[in-house]
Amino acid sequence: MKCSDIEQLFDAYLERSLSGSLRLEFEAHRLRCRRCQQALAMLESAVHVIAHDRPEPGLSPDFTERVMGEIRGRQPIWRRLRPNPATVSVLLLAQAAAIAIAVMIFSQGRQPPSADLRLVRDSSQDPAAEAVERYEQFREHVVRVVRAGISRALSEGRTVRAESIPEDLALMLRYGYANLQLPEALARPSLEAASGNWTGLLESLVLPTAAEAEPSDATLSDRHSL
Amino acid sequence: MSRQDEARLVARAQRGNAEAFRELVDAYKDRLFAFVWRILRNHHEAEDICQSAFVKAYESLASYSSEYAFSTWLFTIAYRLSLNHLRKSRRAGGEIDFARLSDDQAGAGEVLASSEEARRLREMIWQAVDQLTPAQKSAVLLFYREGMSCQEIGQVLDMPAVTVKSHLHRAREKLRGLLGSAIVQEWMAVQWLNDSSLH
Repeated sequence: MKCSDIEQLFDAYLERSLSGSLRLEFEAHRLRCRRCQQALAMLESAVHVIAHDRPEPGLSPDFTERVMGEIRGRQPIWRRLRPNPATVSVLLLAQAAAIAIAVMIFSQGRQPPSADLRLVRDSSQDPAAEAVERYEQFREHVVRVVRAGISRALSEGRTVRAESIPEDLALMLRYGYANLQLPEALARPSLEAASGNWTGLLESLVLPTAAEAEPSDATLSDRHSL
Repeated sequence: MSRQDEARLVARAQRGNAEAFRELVDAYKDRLFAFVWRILRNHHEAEDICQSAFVKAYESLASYSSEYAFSTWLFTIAYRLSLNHLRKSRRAGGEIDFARLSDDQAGAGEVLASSEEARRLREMIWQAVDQLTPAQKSAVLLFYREGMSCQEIGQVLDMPAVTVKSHLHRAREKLRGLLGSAIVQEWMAVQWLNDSSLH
């Protein structure tokens, strides 16, 4: 074989696809021809460095934590707390309770909250009413999710942890407000309620009375007996 | 990591198990970073791209098919993010910002070659590699460093396997031209292949 033929086989040789009699001829020529030896040695050396050398700087030690942190930050709040479904359910339920209390407090006097909400809903031009309505839809969704979560948790025999709820609840309320752009005046009473005595509220929510049928969304909205 | 272990972790991650995905991150982060860094030649940018690639992979897990290796899919995402980044910074032509390169070397990895000649030759090789186009450089890195087949490389670079072979061929020709003109004799004198400092 001539050098020009051997050069045509460099790729196949470096890609490890040269075999059989062709490879034998290739190796034999390489042993005899200094020029091809040098050319191939240079390429093999370059390939060897590319394959094994590690000149790049190291990754930051906290790289994995940053990746996982960003992943967690992009997940919805209910999914971030998923590891303990019972705790998540209670947290969401407590949030729903605090939200409902905030609406009750913010609405005028001690009139039946449902009446106030209906009045507010009718005032479709009022931006605050729009915010309340959005928040109400969010609360209804939360209660549905929470009821399902509580049922599942109880059927699995899980217990409820309560010690970390106040801080988490405040965090969730802030998150809820950030997403729904609740007016500050409505947000503040909820935060105050979150730091208050929520335990009784939770108990009343977790164990619905026998007299209560499985509520429809409208019933949930209007009850406000929290 | 074996394909079986990888498949198990991916399946768990697809069911929402973040800890399973953490294991995948730890398994592939160094290799992915090495690949991206070689393309971008900037430490912080390479870390950002790698982080974005992992996050994007997690968010797209539902669309991942076990027909391909997870690493192939991950490198595909990272390669495309790297190319987008290069296009934005207008360095797709393979130009090297030597000022930034010198800053980046402050955190460089271990020097493997102990002799001065071997160190110099190693630097020349990497400088030659840096003059390849992104596609040529990626093909070379994925083939020789990651051990991917031309078909797998084609999936990463979104091109047919025959085009990958063409890129490998052109890359080798270019390397031969860049390296051969200056140091042919020196290769043989140093007996590069027997340099145990690379092992």
